[in-house]
Amino acid sequence: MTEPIIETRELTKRFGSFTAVDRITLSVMPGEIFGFLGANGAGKTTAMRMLCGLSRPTAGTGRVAGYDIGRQPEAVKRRIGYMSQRFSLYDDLTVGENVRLFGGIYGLGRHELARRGDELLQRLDLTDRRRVRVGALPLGLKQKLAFSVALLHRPPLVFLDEPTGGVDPVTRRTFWEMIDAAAADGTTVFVTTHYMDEAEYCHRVSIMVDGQIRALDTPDRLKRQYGAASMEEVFLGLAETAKRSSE
Amino acid sequence: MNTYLAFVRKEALHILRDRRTLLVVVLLPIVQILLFGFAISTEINDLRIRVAATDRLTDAGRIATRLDASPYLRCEALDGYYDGKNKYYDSFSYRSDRKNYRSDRIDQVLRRGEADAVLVVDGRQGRMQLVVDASNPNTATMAASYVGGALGGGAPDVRMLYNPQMLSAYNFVPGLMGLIFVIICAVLTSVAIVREKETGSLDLLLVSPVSPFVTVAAKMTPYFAVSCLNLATILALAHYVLGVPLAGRAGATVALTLLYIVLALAVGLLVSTLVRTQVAAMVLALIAMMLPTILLSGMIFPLENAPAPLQWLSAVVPARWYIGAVRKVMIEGLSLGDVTVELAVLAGMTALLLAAALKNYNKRTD
Repeated sequence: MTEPIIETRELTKRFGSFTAVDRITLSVMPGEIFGFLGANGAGKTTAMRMLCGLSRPTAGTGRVAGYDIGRQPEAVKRRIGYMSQRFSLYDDLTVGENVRLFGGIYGLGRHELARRGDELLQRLDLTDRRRVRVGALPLGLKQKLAFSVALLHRPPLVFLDEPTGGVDPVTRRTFWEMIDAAAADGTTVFVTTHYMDEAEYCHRVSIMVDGQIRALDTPDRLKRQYGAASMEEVFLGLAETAKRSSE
Repeated sequence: MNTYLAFVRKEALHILRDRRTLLVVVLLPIVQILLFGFAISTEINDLRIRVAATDRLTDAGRIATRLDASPYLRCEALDGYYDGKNKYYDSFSYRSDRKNYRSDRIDQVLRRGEADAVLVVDGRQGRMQLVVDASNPNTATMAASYVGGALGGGAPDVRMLYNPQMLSAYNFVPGLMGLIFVIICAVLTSVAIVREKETGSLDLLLVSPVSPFVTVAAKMTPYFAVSCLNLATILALAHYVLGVPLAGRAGATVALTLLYIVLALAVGLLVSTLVRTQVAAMVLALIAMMLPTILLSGMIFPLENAPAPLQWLSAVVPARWYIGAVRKVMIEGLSLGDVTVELAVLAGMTALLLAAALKNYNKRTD
């Protein structure tokens, strides 16, 4: 049996007396598309920051890509990709410069970087627009470029923080085709989203409420378990039980 | 190393792409030096002096010639004209009702701003009186001392050391250096780091395997490079345009300034770890660095005149130590060995600030 690529036990983060993440336990297998759902303020971002090695857990343990997130965050960081909707690429740099920067950050050699960069631009049909500033690209294309850049160093696992926020439905669909393709290549995708139709595309989803994981299974089984027609109903049913305000 | 270079490239591109920043870092030092050098000078050129004689027996013409020879004074007869060859025609000395007319007339000339001072020469009694418009005390003092100096009689023989012509450039160039590097290093770096916090890109950098130390070092490198460029520009302008001698201690000045630049960068870094928005960074850097640098460093206002508590307070203002040391090295020609106290204080401050900044920076990633 293969090892899970993400495995947490009772992972907890407290800020003073406030428990942002409350003893979450989950495991994600390689090649899986894992949907990490929750209302704003449920603790998703904090949990994700811990998994990425950005934030030290207060209690509990977690292993990501074979390394302990509390003790070896640097090793974890080398093996993951990360993309967020809030910020992904530098608008004032050109397409080519962004690719070069993130290749450089992840320590790709010059030739390797040039080869993968060309390949990436070709795939996105951006070769002609290599010298265009990212700020001038349409949002959808920007997000696709950001996703590809996050995969540039071929990490076994990529974290996507609301990657399709503000993007039109057509582009979202093609974006998810890219996610599927990455997963088919064996890359594990850990994704947060507020779009419940996207939750349906995930292999498995977890739903966080008040810092705890209240549900974790495949979308089909969750719908059956809660007698709901869509993930939207499942989500709203659970989110209503929240005691913490989302503000 | 590759990573570091990739970052430095990125930061350099940010600066080059942002016209406003670029203008500030390139033009600010030049504009400030030239502005202070030529426009906002505390020395006064072309003071307008009118000479009035009470009668024809006076040697007012000779006196006027002497005053006119001074580069700071422009001399004319109160009413009438001076032909440039010791012949002095004073129309009003023929008046009969001199007494009243004279004081009224002097008053009028000063009020209208036609002259800064009027020298009244009374030939019969061998006396002279200088009537000065003291609404600007600075100008008035200058006028009095220039005229006194030009006439020579009775004035003490003053010798000015290091700055014999009392050029204000000698005073303000070190001060401006203290200010410019604070602006370029502290304000711009803090804003640059906080901007990444605001847009969220800092998370993207923190989630990469690059150590925070490399991130920060790379961010500062282009600003450090720009500062070195500015230093060269300032020294060149000060020396070749404003005639500041550098006293053969350019090396020591550069060494001192490099230390100060690192210090200012550390301040910028510390500020950036304390605030979340660019505006807050700007305000904090302004209040914490620029105002004390302008007000409490001795750059413009002599610290010796400040109340004792402000003098104590000034001890924590880095610019005070830097400007003091640069004056000694650049203008007086002392060596680095003569400013060990300033060097030690600056180095100590730099170490403290860097330690505090890095500690804060690491805390953030927790």
